[in-house]
This record gives sequence, C-alpha cells and structure tokens, in this order.
Amino acid sequence: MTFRCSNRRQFLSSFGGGLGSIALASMLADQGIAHGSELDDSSGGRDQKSPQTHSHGSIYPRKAKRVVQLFMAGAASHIDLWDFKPELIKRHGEPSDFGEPVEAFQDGLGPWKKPIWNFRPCGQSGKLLSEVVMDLAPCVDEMAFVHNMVGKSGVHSTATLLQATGFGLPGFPGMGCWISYGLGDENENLPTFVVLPDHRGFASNGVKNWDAAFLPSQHSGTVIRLQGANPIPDLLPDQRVLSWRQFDPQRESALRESLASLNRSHAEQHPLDETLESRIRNYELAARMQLAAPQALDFSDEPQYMLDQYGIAPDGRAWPEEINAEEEADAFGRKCLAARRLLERGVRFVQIWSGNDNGFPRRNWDSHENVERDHGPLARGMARGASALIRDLKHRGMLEETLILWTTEFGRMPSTQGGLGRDHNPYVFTNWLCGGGIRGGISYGPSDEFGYKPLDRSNPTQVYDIHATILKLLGFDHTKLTFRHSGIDRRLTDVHGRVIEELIA
Amino acid sequence: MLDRFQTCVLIVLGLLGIGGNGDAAEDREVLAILERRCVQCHNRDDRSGGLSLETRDEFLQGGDSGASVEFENLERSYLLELIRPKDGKADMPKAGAPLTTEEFEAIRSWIASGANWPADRKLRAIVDEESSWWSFQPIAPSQIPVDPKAGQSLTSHPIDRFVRAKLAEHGLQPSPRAARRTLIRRVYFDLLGMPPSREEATAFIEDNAHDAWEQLIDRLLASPRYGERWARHWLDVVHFADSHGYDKDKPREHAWPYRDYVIRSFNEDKPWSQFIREQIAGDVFAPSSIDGLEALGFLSAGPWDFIGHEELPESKIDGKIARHLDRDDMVRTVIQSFMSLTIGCAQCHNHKFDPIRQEEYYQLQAVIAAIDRTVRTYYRDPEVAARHRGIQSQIAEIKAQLLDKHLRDYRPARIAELEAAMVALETELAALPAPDKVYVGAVHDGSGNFVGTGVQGGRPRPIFILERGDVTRPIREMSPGCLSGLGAIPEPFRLPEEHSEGDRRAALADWIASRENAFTWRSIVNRVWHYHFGQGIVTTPDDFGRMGGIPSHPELLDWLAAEFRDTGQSLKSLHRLILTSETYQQSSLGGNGDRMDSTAMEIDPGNRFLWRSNLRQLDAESIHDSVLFIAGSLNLQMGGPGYRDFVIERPEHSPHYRYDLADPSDPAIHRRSVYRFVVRSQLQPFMNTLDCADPSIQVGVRNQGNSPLQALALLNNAIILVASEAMAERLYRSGESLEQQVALCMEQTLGRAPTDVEQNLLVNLARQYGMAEVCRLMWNLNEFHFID
Repeated sequence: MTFRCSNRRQFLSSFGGGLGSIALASMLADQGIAHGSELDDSSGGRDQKSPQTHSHGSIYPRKAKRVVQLFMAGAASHIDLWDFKPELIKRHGEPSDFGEPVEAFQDGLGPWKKPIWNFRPCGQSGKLLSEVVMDLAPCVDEMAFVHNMVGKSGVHSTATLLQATGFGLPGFPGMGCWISYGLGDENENLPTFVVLPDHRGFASNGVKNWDAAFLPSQHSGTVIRLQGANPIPDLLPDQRVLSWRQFDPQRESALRESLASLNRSHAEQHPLDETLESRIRNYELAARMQLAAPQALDFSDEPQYMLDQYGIAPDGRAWPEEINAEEEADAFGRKCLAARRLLERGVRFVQIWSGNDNGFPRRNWDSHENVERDHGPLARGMARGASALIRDLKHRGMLEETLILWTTEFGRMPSTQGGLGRDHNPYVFTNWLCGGGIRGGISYGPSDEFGYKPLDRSNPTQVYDIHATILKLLGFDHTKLTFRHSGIDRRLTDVHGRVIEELIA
Repeated sequence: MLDRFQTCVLIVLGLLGIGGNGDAAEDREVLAILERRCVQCHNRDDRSGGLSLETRDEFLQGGDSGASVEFENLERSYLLELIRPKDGKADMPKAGAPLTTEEFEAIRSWIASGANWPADRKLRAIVDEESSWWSFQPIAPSQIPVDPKAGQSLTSHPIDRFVRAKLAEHGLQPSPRAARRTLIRRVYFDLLGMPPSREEATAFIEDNAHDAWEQLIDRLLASPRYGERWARHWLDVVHFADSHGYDKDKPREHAWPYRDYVIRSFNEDKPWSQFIREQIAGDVFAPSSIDGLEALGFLSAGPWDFIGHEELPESKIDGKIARHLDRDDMVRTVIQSFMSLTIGCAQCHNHKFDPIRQEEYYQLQAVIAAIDRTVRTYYRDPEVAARHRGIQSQIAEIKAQLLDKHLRDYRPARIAELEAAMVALETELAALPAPDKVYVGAVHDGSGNFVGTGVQGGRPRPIFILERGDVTRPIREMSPGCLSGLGAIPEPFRLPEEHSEGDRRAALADWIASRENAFTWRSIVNRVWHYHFGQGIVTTPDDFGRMGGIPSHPELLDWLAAEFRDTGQSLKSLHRLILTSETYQQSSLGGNGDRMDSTAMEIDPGNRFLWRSNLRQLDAESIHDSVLFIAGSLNLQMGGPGYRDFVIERPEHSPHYRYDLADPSDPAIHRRSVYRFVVRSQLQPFMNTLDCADPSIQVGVRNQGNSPLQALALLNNAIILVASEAMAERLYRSGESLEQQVALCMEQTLGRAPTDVEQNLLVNLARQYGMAEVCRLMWNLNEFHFID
C-alpha cells in the first residue's frame, strides 16, 4: 500500500470537482471577477456553496500566465517537419506495409514516401529538424516535442474540434475560453482571448473552435482581423452607415457622457439590482478598448529589424498567385507580432491559425495532392514567424510566463497518396510546446519507425494530456476547472487527461 | 520527518489491526450508504478525485492526495467534513440531496468504531431505482394552500396561494403590483418579444374596465407575433439552424418549413401531446398532412457532419462514428427537449447520477435507427397536395386494372380507354407546380457514401450496445425501447415482432406524451415559467436529474403540470393562468419599505421565492426586433425562407458567410429575427455577442453575459446605426420641434416621457450631433435593456 500524503487542501480537492470550483470561485472573487454565481447557478437552492468556507486560491503554482496556440489547419505532416524517420528513406518507393489493415480517409496507401526535406541536427540537444522549419533551429532547445499524439478521427471537422475544444463535436468551449474563464482578465481594456484567423478564411467549424458555447459569452475568442479599419467587430461605428462614416471622438464622448448620466439616475431608482452598475461600467471599458486595441495592433512603432525578423513585408506589397514562402511568412509573421503586442498588454490567450478551409487552391496543410508545393511555403512562413515570436518573447523576458503550443488536426501518412501527396494520419502526429514552464530540448513519446503509430501503442498522448499539462502550468488542476451545464460538470479534459510531468521544467 | 498527515495514516494503520467486531448491521448499513451514494463515481474505473471506495484499503488510502479519515481526531476527518450536511447542503455527494443527518451520524460512528469492513466485501454502485429524488415521483395531486389572509381574499389566484404560502414560510412578503406602464411593457416583451406602441400603451393605461389586464393578455395571445416569440424559445431548445455546421458548413435551404411549423403550432395553440407526437412521428400520426411532415424537422434540427456522411461510407470507422454521433444528437434532443433529462453520458456507461442504463440509451438509438437527416418533397399548398394525392391514387387504380388478365384478354377497348386516361393523368401530374422541399429526420434514399436505409426499404440499421461508446467494440444488438428506471414514467413500450420503423418512433412519442410521464408535463410548465419569470421553478429546465436543481415550489410545479395536462394542454391557457396572478404582476422594485426590502434581500437574494419581480435583461432577438420596430423599419413578413444578413462567398466548397458584405439598410433583412437564416459555423456577430442561443447545443437557459464587447455591439453595430438613422428620419418627418422629437423618441423606446433634466440633456445632444445620436443613445440605455 502506498500513501501519497499531502496537504489538507489537496486532500479536500481529491473528493471531486465541487471543491475545485469553490477554489476557483474564491480565487476569482479575489480578483474581483464575479463568477461565483455562475459556478453555482444551476444548482438551485440545494447547492449554494459558500466560497468563504473553502478559500483555496490557485491549486498549483502558476508558472505560465499566458498562452499562444499555433494551429495548423488541414493537418500538418509530422514526418516532413519534426519527426525524422530514416526508415522511410531506406524504404522509399517500396509498397507500404503497415502490418495490419489500415483505414485511410481517401485510401491513400501508396508506397512508403521519404520525408520531402532533409533533416539536420539543431541546438545543443541535437534535435533533428527538417530544412523547411530551419528558422526554428535557434529555438529548438526551448522546445519540447511530443511525437506520440493520437487523435480520434481522420475527419477534419471533428479532429479540429477535438484539438481546439477537447470534444469531437461542436458545442464545447475552446481551450482559450476555459483559460479566460479560469484566469480572468489582466487588462480589462482588451479581450482575454484573441483569435487571429488565417486572413483567407476560417478553418473547419469556423467560430465553433473558439466560441464560448455554454460558458458566458465574454470568454469567446474575439476575432481580430489585422487588415481593415475595424479589427474587432463593432469596435468603431460601422462605416457602411453614412452618418457615422467619419469617426468623431467628441461625438462619441458626448454620447457616452449623456448615456452614463441617464443610466445612473435609472440605477439609483433600482438599488436592488447591481447588474445595472456593471453595465454602466462596460461602456467605460468599451471606450478604453477603442483606444487600446488599435494601439496594440499598430506596428508603426516597431523597428524595421523587428519587422524583418518576423518576415513582415512592406504594407501593400503585391503577391504572385502561386503559393509562396514570402507571402506566407508575411501573413503568419504579422499574426505573431500582433500576438506578442497583445500578450505584452495582458491578453491571456492568443490563437493563431495557419490555413483556411480545405478548399482549392490549397491554402492550408491538407496536402493530399502535393506536400512539397503546399507544406513548403506554409512551413517556411510558419517557422519564420514562430521563431521570431519565441526569440522576441525571450528577449523581453516574457517567454518564461508565456506558454506556446504548436498543434494541428492530425498527422499525415508515411505512405504516399498519388505520388506527391499524403493522406490523413489520425493515428500519430506531433505537437510541440515551448516557454511557460516547459522543459526545453526534449522529445517525448516517440512514434514508431514509420511515423505511423506511437511506438508504445498502449501509452499514447492525447489532447487531454496536453490540455491537462497546460492547465497545470497555469495553476489549475484540470479536473477542478469545471462549469455545470445541463447536469454535467463540464471540463476542458472531459473525463480524461493526465499531466505529463516529463514536459514540465 | 513525518508530517501530520503521514502520522495520521500510521495511526489509521494501527487502528486497523485492532478494528472490528464482526459484520454488524450498523456496518452493513454504512456500506450500503456508500454503495448507494458514493461508489457510482468513486470506483476503480472512474476514480473521481483519485478515490475508489470499492475496498477498505482503497477507502483508507484516500484520493489523489491523502487519507480519508483521521482516527485520532475524528472531527477533522476530511471525509466527514465533505459529507456533513449543513443547512440542507453538503459538498458531497455531488448529485442528489445531501445525506440525511441519520446517515451522516451512522457513518461517523462507524468510523469512530474503527471503520469495520468485512475483508472480502467489495462495494458495487447501486443506482437507486426507488430514489427519493423529486423528479422520480409521480405528479402529486396538490392541494391549493389556504390563503394566509383567508377571509378577505378567499378567491385569490391559485398560483398566488402557492407562492404566498412559501413566502410566509420564509418570512417574506410579496411586493405590490407594478405600475401599468411597467406591466404593459413586461407582458409585451414576454408574449411578443417587442414593446407596445405608444398608442397601445396609452390605451391600456387609460382602460378603466375591471378586466383590462385580462383583455390585454387575450389580445396579445391572439397576435401572430406571439407564435414568433415563443417559437424562438423552442428553437433554442431543439438547437435549430439553417446550416449543417462542422466542416464545409453547407446551407440547409429547406430547414425553414420546420421553423414555420413551430410558429404556426404556437399560434394555433396546438395541444402539447399533439406537438410532441408530430415532431417525433408526424408521418405516422398525421400521414400526408403538412404539419405531420414539417414537424419532423425537429429530429433533423441539430448539426450534421457533411464530410462524415458524404465522403465516408458507413463501413469505415470514421463513417460509423459520424452516424453514431448523428443518432446521439437525435436521441439526446428528443429526451432533453421533452423530458428535461440528459442521457448522453449513458452512451459510454450507465448514467452516473440518474437511473439510466447504457442499454436503454442504445434502445433509444434503435428507435431512430432507420432515419437520417434528409430532404423530402411535398406540396405545401393543401389544394395542390390534394390534387397530387388524387391523381396518384387514380394512377394506382388504373395500373391495377391494367394488370387484370380478364380485361386484357377480352376488353381491348376498355384497355385503350384506361391507357388514354393514364396519359391524361400523367400529363396532369406533370403540369403540377414543382414540389416543395423540407429538411427532416426520415428514411434517406441516397447514393454514394451517404446511402441511408432507403435501399433496404427503410429497415432500421442494427444497433449495438457499444463498449465505452466505441463503434469498433459492439457488444450485442439492442431492440428499440425507452427508459425504465425513473419512477414517474409509463411502462416501457413493447413492439410486436413485425413492425415498421415508424412504429418505433410512434411508440416512443406515445410514451413521452403519455399522461403518466411526469417528466413531460413538469418539463413544459417549468420551461414556460422560466420564460415568464427569468427563472424556472426548477432552475435547470434542461435537467431534472440528480445533477439538476430542485424545485423552489414543488407543490406548485405539480399543480401546474397536472392542470396543464388535464385541461386541454393549452399553452395559451397556461400563459393566461400565470400572467393573471399577482405574483407575475409584482413590482421589481420591492416596495414594502427599505427595511422589509433589505431583509428580503438578505433572506432570498436570488428571489427564488418570488417576493418581487425579477429585473430581466432583454435577449438578442428582442433587442434586434424592438429597435427596428421602434424605428418603424420592422418588416413583419411572416414565414418562408430565412433572411440572409450575409453574402456567401465560395459556395462551391466551404461557403464563407460574410456578414460584413451585406447591406445593413436592405429592408429584406429587417424582419423579425426568428426568420434569420442561422449559420452554425459563423454565428451572426451582433446576435452572438448579445448571447443568442448557440445552435450547436440545446439551450434551455440563455447566458446573460455582461461585457464591454456587448457595449461596443450596441453602440456601433450597423443594425443599431441604421435604425437610429431611420428613427431620426421618422421623427424629423413628424414636423415637431426638437423638444417634441426627443420626448416622442423616449416615449416610443421606454414608454415614458423624459424628465426635464433628461429633456435638456438630450435636446443638447440632438442640437450638436443630430437626432440620430439621441436614438442611438436610447437603444443603449439600461432602462431599455431591462424589463422591470
């Protein structure tokens, strides 16, 4: 019999989610975030737990305060970017044999296909990286790779939802929503959770990947579009309406003052209802957001070398029709730089997307037809921006508290589809993490010699484990960060999840 | 060095050695409590909090971080701390009521005497079929309580009697009746989702008739706007939308007839059991009726994975998963919408908190195992439909005659006649207008990967109970069935060996609509109560299970359920009953004096006992519709395809729904928002920010967010600005002075005249920045956003 003795608080928490919620509620109350009622709202008169009785604060020491998620839509190939498989070079062109029947999405089970690009050892760790992501070489000792990720489906929509929300069907909050709900805001003048979608369109499921679902709507990812006058929807009056086409700050402030004045006298007549006051305050915050958001997104105070480092091209540059690395670097780099500026200003979670829907011509990672043509520019562009972001954060002393997660829907097959492409591989793929309490320079959980399945098939890593680990670094026990919806205490990790201690510094 | 906790564990071990005096009745009793209330979650498979209670060792070992009990200091045992009932509450068990004091004391003294536990005794979870949980009890015939002020108001309203009895119990008083101006605004938003016009408000305020209120309610219930408003609530519950969701979120061009069916049903005040039957099996109960077909849009209302069906055959694992999830959505929708029970958990294991077995979940899947989400053709125009049916049956008749050997051999002239008639009929058939289409849950007759069961004549797919819900691990085939362990439900239905797939759905519909099904009747009256008061008698309208709430007024809930069930199942009568109560007509301001009010705030801050009316925030649709209505821009066209306040780009592959490209001043999109074309993957930004229902999940209670983003939407969204311009234009055309215009604007928005201070302030704003700015301000006022 083994005993794991610990403190009283942890023991209390071990009896289920309720106490975790209380801990959270009191923690949020400490921060002045009135979530207590939401945590208890659905339980009727029976379950009105009092936060005072169980004041716990954060459950784990908080190593990270912010998260960046880099999401490759369409499914990026692990074996061409991160997970070197010499066996495939050796057997290139031979008929593929998986040793078992395999179901592939488009039956793309042609001959073994070697990695498109050469791999080279990088950093002190000597981690082998593909040429196409060589821009990340200077960061490799900060990065922890997980090569035995497995998904549950080879269908884009469900796989994307699973990685983004922890559930394979729509209707669940994105990871950023949970983190916004858990951590609250650091800067009231900006949204807590920002989404920077691919400028060419949304990935599968659209907003369902970051929507708050049953959590209160303020935890939804706020989409910021880096091009256009209104980066946040309705930040300024809609320019399609004539009377407001010219933005007039004086008019806006006159309106706000009159509004506040009328609202105050109304609130005085309703002393029993505090919600009126908080609504009044939201108008003040909205006004501050109108100033803060454009400022956060204005790169004009960035030195040229910084723009260069992120691969950002001069504004208004024309691009060729074919997919190309410079354009991809510009698009991805702009999002990375915007992310850094938002994080600096207290945004908790930034989700950056590479790749739009799975249409044609391909502007995403779903390379059924031609890995080299599409993965090449996308990967070079991504590596450029991601590398710049990591180094920039490090230089500013922010990397320690900023956790970066690179992820995708699933991997791609070690066999070829039609000679140049690769089919979906939900059976194994790669994630990497960086900063925010992550142990750098390691590769955890190898895949098998082909990159077809995990080497140890009975101990794969799932998205729940990644989420549990991230939540721990943010100070949460993933089983305790809950929200009751339709009779179930919902969690980001559903009923799964195991913290991967090996990834933690 | 040993810390305190290790020390205590050692003491525990020491005690164990000497523990016990046999398998006493007291011990058995305590272990039974654990089996009934704890082991469902704390077992070797689930280990909630890392704790299993299957064996004594595990019990003592505790959970993730420590031991369960401190023998040397019993009162500090964490287990006891967690389960100790205090003021009717406890942290554990998580589901259901707390332990009774007797149960708690039994556990305490059991631990005190060494937590004796027979060595070979392994605990097993017992789902308590005879549970005392409130919703598992039959609807009790409730006695209307005697009015506490008996003698002077013996005739008071039954609802008030129930509510006042509860208020008196808690030392609370009802608040006085709200002002008429407040009441008319409240009831308009409640029943129609829009404010009264200035004229309507004035007429009511000045109406001296003793039954002015009752008359007003009747007028509103007769308005077609009523069905539009209440259909929206139901569409939230069934998570209706006009696109599939998931990847390549394709528009559902023919989903809207179901939405119109719901609006029509509410306006016609269809009896509730009929509404249930039509939506589950309208094709069986009302064959060849329009309602009977369109109602089946209920089964297909939720999301659908296009890729999982169209690009993957049922033989592949991912194809199987997609179809499993599709049925999962359908059965969850049926049970949650009508019975307020969540059954999704039972796809992997027996429901943890409610007596719902995994087998039963798959039996429910078997009920709908023949159907998919598909398009059906029909004639919406009943006259054309009748002609179509007539021609069809004549053709069938002639075909039969043509097969007659006698005729063929001996009466060629007759044959020629028949053939000519056939040609004429076919010409007539071809001349009928193109048939209409509707998106429903029905047998799908497809090709390619998405075949459906049409090719096999609609024979249901075999449904297997799946180990842990895994489609690759079927255990055994399940026959169609329903739930059985919930107490207040009818006997499960049985079907004869030979039956059609429609028989299965009809049997389920009958079972749900049965008067014996307590869940059904409590569910709907509680939903209606929720929409009228902002809070249900049970605060979890989607979950009456043990993780849900308990009723604040159980007797009232049962009385309402029985009354509704037994007197015509008319929602309009139910509204009338609720709205004519004094409870509904109370002021939200309190009004029994500051001292009474603040005492009440202390006793019941959440107003569960209804000592006042709740201040309620307007929902997204009410804001949208009211702003357009007040501005005079609301287009009241009813029914038909939804308006699209977006432009679709790249429709051929994955449609991009671009809300920013629509023309916000286009009158075609200024319809009531129940007619909005609802896209799942790209939610309408304005409505979504204002917490409209997420069509990916069933929504019985909307969120009420409160964020700066909402302020921005209300200040700057095009719909607000367009309405402000239109309103300003309308006021300008009135030819009145600026002062008059400001007053008019406020009266139409808030139903009252401005004070002098307000008047001055707003006239100044109008002078400086124009009247449109004043209108924009109006839609942002708290007074506009809350119904009091």
